Order: sequence, then C-alpha cells, then structure tokens
Amino acid sequence: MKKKHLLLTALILLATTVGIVWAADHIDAPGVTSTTSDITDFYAFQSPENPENMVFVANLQGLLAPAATADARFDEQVMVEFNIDNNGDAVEDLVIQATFKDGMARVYGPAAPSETGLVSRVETDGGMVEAGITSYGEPAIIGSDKGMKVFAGPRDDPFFFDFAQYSEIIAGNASSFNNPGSDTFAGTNVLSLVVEVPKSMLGSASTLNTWVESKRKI
Amino acid sequence: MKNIAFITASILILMAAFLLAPQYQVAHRADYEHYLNATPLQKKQKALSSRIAFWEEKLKTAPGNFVFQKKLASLYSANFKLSGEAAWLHRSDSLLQRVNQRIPGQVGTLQSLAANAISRHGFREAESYIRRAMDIGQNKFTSSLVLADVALERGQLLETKLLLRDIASDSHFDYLIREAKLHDQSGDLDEAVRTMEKATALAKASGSPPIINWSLSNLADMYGHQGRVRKSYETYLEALHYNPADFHALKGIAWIAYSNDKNAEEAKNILHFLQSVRPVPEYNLLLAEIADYEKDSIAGEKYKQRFIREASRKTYGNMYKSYLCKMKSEGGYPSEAMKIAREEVRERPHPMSYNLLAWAAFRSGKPTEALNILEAHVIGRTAEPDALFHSGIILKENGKKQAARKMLNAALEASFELGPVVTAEIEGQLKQL
Amino acid sequence: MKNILRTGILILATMALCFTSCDEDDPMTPADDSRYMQEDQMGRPAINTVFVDAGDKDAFNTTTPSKQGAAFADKFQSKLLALNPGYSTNALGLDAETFTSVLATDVLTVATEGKTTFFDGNNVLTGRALSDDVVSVELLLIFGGPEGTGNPGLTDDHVDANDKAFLNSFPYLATPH
Repeated sequence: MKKKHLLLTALILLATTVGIVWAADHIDAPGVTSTTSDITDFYAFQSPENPENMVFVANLQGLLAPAATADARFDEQVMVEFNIDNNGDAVEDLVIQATFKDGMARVYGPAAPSETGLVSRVETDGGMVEAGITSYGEPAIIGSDKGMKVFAGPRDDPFFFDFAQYSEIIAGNASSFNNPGSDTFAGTNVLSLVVEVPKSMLGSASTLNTWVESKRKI
Repeated sequence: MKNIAFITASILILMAAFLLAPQYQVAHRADYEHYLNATPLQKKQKALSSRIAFWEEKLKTAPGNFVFQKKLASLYSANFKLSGEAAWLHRSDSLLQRVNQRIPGQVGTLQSLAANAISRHGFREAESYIRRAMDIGQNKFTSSLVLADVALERGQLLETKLLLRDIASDSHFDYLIREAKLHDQSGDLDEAVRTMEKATALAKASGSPPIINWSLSNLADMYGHQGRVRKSYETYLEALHYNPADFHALKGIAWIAYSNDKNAEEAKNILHFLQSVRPVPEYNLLLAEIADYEKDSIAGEKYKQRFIREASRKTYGNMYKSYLCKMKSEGGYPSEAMKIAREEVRERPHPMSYNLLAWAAFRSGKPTEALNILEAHVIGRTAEPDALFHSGIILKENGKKQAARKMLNAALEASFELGPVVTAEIEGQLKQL
Repeated sequence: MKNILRTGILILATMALCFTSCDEDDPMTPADDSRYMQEDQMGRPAINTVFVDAGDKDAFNTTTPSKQGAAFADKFQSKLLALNPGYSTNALGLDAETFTSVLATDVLTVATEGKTTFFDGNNVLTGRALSDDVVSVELLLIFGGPEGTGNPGLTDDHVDANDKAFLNSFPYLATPH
C-alpha cells in the first residue's frame, strides 16, 4: 500500500515546479524611488543677462552618466520650492514652487505662502509660468512670462569638488588633498530647474535668506 | 420594461455560459507577439553597458575613487537583474566590500550590501548589514524598508508589521509595495491587491516608466494568485507596454497559456524565446512542468537535469535552493533534500522553508516527522497553495482524512497557480479520501 | 451570482482597457487641495555634507531653517573642533561658536544689489554663482586659521573650476554631456 502510494506520488514532480511564477519571493523590490527628491545643489545669483533679475537653480538626482540622462525624470509627485526670507527670521515670506507633469514644468509664484514650514500647498496667487521639460540632447526650452524665465531638464552638473579625496581624508586614509585634484562630478549630469525672476518681485530687502526644499505630495 | 429585463437576463445567461465554459483562451499571440523580440532587451543591455563603461573609464582615471566604485556596484547589480548572470552580483559585492573597508560606516554602502545579500538569498547577512545602517541612522526610511524585506523573507510577520508601522505613508511607493507584500504573506490577498493597486496608481502619478512597469508586473502576479486570469493577463500586457523587455511578464503570460489555456505549445514558444535571450536556470523548471503535462518523460527529465546542473552552480549560492530542494525530494534524493531544507530553515525560518523540510521528511518515509513539522510551523501560518497541497498529502498519509480533504480543497482553489499537473494530482488524491 | 457580476464588470473593464494616457487631467488646474511634505532641503553648499553627522541628516533635512540653529549649533561646533582641533578663528575673524552658529542655520544669503558671489576676495556670502569655488572657500574657513595659511594640505581641493564652460545666457548651466 505504502509502496503504491510512493509510486503514485513519484509522478508529481510537479511539486517541484509549483510556484515558479508565483514564488513567495517575488522579483526583488526596485531601487528605492524616494531618491527622486534628493537635492544635490542650490544656487542663487544675479542674472548675468539682466542685473534687475535674480536666478535660482535647484539640481536633483546627481551623478547621471550621459547614457543614464535620457531616462532621468522629474518625479511628478515631488514639488521643488525656492524659499525666500526677506526680513531676516529664516522663515519664508515668499515661495517659488515648481511641479512637473506630462513633460511640463509649472512654476508658481513668487507668492506669500498660505502656510510656512514643512508642509506646502501649490500657491496659485502669484500666477504660473510653464515650460516644456527639455529632453536630453534637445535645445533648451525656455518658458517666459511676466518677466520670469523657466527651464527644466538635464544639464551638466555645475558642481566641482574632489569629493572622493575629501572622504578619504575624513576616513583617515589620507592627510591632504591631491594637486591637481580630481573633480568627482566631471562629465556627469543632473536634472536642473532654473528660474529667473525680477528682483522687484522679491521684496525690498537688501539681503535675502534663500534655500530650496523638495516636498512630496501626500 | 419587460424588454430590459429580458436583455439583462440574456446578458447574464451569456456571461454565465461564458464563465461555465470549461476553458476559455486568455492569451492570444497577437497581443504579445511583438514582445517576443530580442531588440528591447538588447537595447537595455546596450544602455546599461555604456553606463558601466562610463564609470569604469572614470575609475581608471581615478583608481580607488569610492564614488565611482559605488556607482559601478549598483550598475553591476542592475546588470545581474537584467541578464540573470550571478557573476555581476559578485562583482558588485566585491566593490562594495572594498568601499566599506576603506570608508566604513557609509549608510548607502551598507544598504547596497544588504540589497545584494537579499538577491543572493543571504538573509542573515543582509540583516547584519542593514542593522548596522539602522544604527548609524541616516536615511532610516530606506533602512527600515530593507529590514522589512529581510524580516518578511524570514517569516517574521510581526516584526515586519512593526517596522512598516513606523514608516507608514501612502505617499511612498516604496512603502506601499512592502505593505502589499505583508498583506499577501499574512494571507489577506484581497487587501494585498488593493494595496498594490494603490502603489500602481502612485507609480503612474510619479511618471516613472520602470516603476510603473514593476508595479504592473507584480500586480499581475497577484491577480493570478486570486485566480483572476484575464485581469492578470491584461495587466502583464500593460506592464509590457511600459517595458517591452519585461521577461517576468512574458513568463507570466507563458504560465497563463499553459495553466489556463492548456496551450502547451504556445507556452513553450514563449519560454524558448526567454531562454534564448536570457539563459537563466528557472525556465527549465517551467519547461519540465509542461513536459510532464504532455507526458513527455524524456523532455521532462532533460529539463530537470538541466535545471539541477545549472542551478547548482556555485555562482548562484542560495538563490535556487528551495527549488533544488523540491527536486531532490522528488528525484529520489530525500536525504540531500533534508540537508538543503535544514539550511533553508536556518537562513530563512519562513513557513515555506518548513514546508520544504516537511515535504523532504515525508519523501524520506517519515510521515509522522513531516506532520510534526507541519503542525508546528506551517499549518495556519501560510496560505501558499504549495504548502496547502503538501500539507493535504501529508495529513492524508497520517490518516487525518478530514483535515486532508479540507487542505486539498483549499489548494484546489488555486488550481490556476498550481497548474494542471498538480491540479490533477490533487483531484486524484481527493478521490481516494 | 456575485461572481458572475464581478466577472461581468471585468469583461467590461477589459473592453475599456487603456493605458495611462486615458486618465488625463486638466493640466492647467493644479491639484489645489494637495499637500506636499518636505523630504530634503539645502541652503549653503556642502554644509550638510561636512557638518551634519550621519545620524542627524534625516532630522536636519526636515528641520525648518528657523529651528536649525537651536537644534544643531552645538553639534556643528563639536564637528568643527573634531575636524580641526586647532581651530581658533578663521579668515573672517569668527571664533568657533560664532562661525558654527551662522552655519547651522542653513540658508544662502543673497544681496539684491551688486555682485552675487560666495566669496571673491571683496564680497563675502552675497549669493552663490555657478563658477564660485565654494568648496575651497569653505575648506579655507574651516582649516586655514585666521590668516588662511594653516593646514595647507586641507584648504584647497585643487579643483578650481567646472569641467564645462557656463553659458552667458539663460539657463546659464552648460548643456549635458
């Protein structure tokens, strides 16, 4: 009886194959997606083209190899927000916000935020300027309206730093920088958001405190 | 009014007829034929290769640069996923080890080491890396996700739940897919599907094709678990729309062609295509199963031997251990199967590992020991059809007819997932009860 | 019955099967009720990298600048003295406490008139232009002592410019590689 049963079950090699498609260990989770909100750099400077204007630059998703650049995308759930404090308390009095959707970057403001701090809403009171997101290898698309200009898309990473050697020094593996140094960011690209805005829209203070934030839709 | 009632009734009758038809074909070659094409995968390979070449070139000009090494490590590991060649995973690991030695305590390095270890099914090793990352504290969100992955693989449902509770967020795709997996493993498939649908909607809202593809491919798997074959098929097709090189989706369609449509020829076509563009051991398992279905014992034996030979290669480490274990149980080497199962249990004390152990014990002629293992670690702890099926047979052999019947009937509900050969076996076993 | 209905819905859904392009929403209308939660922020270049311990980075990135000083100034000071145990003052004449209490509030100050630069010998922290060698300025202020001559191996990374020329016109950043 026993033997017969074993013979019977010997047919079911199937047990082996069960769950190949449906294994409890599905395909591994993809790389973490929250890095799409990583800010790599921030710049604020007077427009080289027009001294009446200020330029803000936010860079995201750094260290893109050229071959990785065409596939890089702004996360459509993430807002990039330039914050401007014009009374010295390090609390934003004005914000310039950018969201991305279906190949378009939409820039709102400058506008006084209805809420300051970690949580934001899209502030539509200051109007909106939009620009198509420039694709890799294409000429820059510039959106302009009410004296503002907007660009969004891949660019050469403007940052330069021998970051690797710095880390070796911090780790105690080296005692000084090399001369010449090696620019860790040379040859790599980032996703850039560039907004040029008339200074007159930023209040009358002689000095601004500025910073950039990335915020995810909740 | 009468008319409407009549039309409604006719529609319902038509639907019922459609439903009651014993088999209806879901997979149609015209829907996916253009994906049976090596070009998309070659294009991806090429793009990945040029990214790798870029960083290798940079590393040549700055030997030992850890930033470049880490970049390369993550691309090597991506190449493993794309090509299935484990050597890439080992190259990734060795770079990361070097970075971790030279500049220790970097959270990103530890997280990558843990992710690689999970890919190798080295769960205890993964846990030790990710716990170190957790202790350092930077980017705790990601560390918690990876630790939850490890806990889930090791069958620690409560720990997974606690970890995920701390980082719960409906606005993070990375969180939602873990929550879906947790529901699935907790036996709440409907909630798992709902959560995965939420993750898919979020992926679409984020606008990232690879992430949309990944969620659809996994969602399609889950529809298959539910037995919603047509929905599963459509979702695989949608996944392929976002990534024409989605071999996971094509494999799912092959299974539908075989298990639901009983179209073994078509399933084999798809699998042969996959094998030709991406030669990994696992397609041999499916081909062996189909050969069994076709009662082609020569082909069945050929594919089984091929699988065992390839999957046993050292380069794969633990990756195929659970399948090898089942094959050894069936192939007349139950003591070897016991050995593998014990290792699996140590690495991964998940109910499914105990399921392997119980089955190996049963096939070694120790039905009582098998039952003890089942009762202590499997029954009531997993709803995986494979475990239900094994439990049913072991219960039956131990004279627990009623429980066996219940278990086998539960397994039968997943007959699409189990495939026609196992389904026939279950039906045969039930008749004896 | 329930099953039949469900399948009926499925079949209908099949017929209506379409990809994401179906769910177009009006692009001009922002989702005005949507709220956004902070994940990352930045003011001055590389300050987070240099001064914030790994275990504090998550918190630092989600603490609004107006609260960063209170939360992180002491830690910045310890970090500065760990990096350069011989720190007395720097080329700006700031002692450790003053220097780090400025840095801990991570905002970039920008002048609304005149030249905007991180440091050009005359102007200090009036903005940050693309070509500013910000890292060497910071290294000098951290390691260089009051005359800027201390720890010469640490005050310049000897990468002085970008690898690609910037543009004279908007958007100023160089085209991608």
